[in-house]
Amino acid sequence: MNTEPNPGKANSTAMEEAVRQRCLLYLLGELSHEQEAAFEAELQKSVDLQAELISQSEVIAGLSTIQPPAVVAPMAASNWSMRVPMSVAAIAATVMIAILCWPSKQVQRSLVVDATPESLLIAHAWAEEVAAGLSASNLVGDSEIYEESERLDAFAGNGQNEGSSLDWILTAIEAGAISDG
Amino acid sequence: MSETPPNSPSDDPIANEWREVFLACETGLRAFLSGRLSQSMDVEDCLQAVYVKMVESGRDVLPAARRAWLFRVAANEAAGTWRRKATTDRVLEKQAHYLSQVSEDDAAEKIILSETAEKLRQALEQLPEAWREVVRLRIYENLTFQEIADQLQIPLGTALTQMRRALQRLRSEIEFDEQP
Repeated sequence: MNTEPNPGKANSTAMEEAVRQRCLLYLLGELSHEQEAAFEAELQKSVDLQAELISQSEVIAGLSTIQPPAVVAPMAASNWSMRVPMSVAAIAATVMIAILCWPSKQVQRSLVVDATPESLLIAHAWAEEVAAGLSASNLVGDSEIYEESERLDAFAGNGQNEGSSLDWILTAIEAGAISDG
Repeated sequence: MSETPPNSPSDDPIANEWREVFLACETGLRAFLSGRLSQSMDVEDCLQAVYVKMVESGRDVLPAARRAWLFRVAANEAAGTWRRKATTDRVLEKQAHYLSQVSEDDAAEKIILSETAEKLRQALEQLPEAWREVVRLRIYENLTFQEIADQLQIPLGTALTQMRRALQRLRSEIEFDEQP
């Protein structure tokens, strides 16, 4: 496929557009006196100009015979006075969100960094210790543990998620309850 | 011809408006007809026929469409002149067949106009909203392009381009429908 630009075709299209525009402005009486005189002088000689003029005349005269279209609501029309402030507001909002999000990401990052193996190890050790104690003394009934587990699962929103990352917390709370009791 | 000459104002404001439009584009109409008809007498006859039609049936044409209407009538008159010349001697034909020919042309033209109007109405509805609004303001509200640009708060060039593209689209829709 030939994708190279065709300057000849582009020029031709631009000329056609220019001719259309002149015809349109002439028919609607929007050319200056000088432009109008030049257009009329050309009109006698140019068959293309005559053809374009009549073609547009057909459409414009035809439009005169039909009912006007419905009025477009102001917001639906191209309204630069609304578009520009709205665009500025949108950009401002984006910048604000970016600024606000930036520190929170920093905090999140610091939190992740803080969740070092040391703190995780402490939690695991606590959980293991509690679990060992549970199996040894069996001081709490299974039903109590089950109820507590249900509550935590409901809180975590994943009742079916056995062995999830919240398990150690559950165990820790159970252990706390035992020691308190 | 018994019609009011173009340079005699009347008490009818619409007739006066029409006369002004006619005078404003008389040179253009003459140039257009001269490009289509070889004899200057034919050109002047057509020009007079255009004026007569304007007085007889141009009253309902919207102000913005008056020039276009005049050129359209001029094109029809020029085509009619060619048809008449092709069949018989111009002077004899003018006396013997002119009136009947005109009435036949009018009947056929009314049908064509009615069909075209319906196609145009449908095509107008299909236009992008922004284009349709520019057409409405220019043709039906008779605002200038500068006034439209100011009202819609768009660049003047955009208003012009939208109008030009709208007319092009409408024309292509009509021409497409007219294909056999």
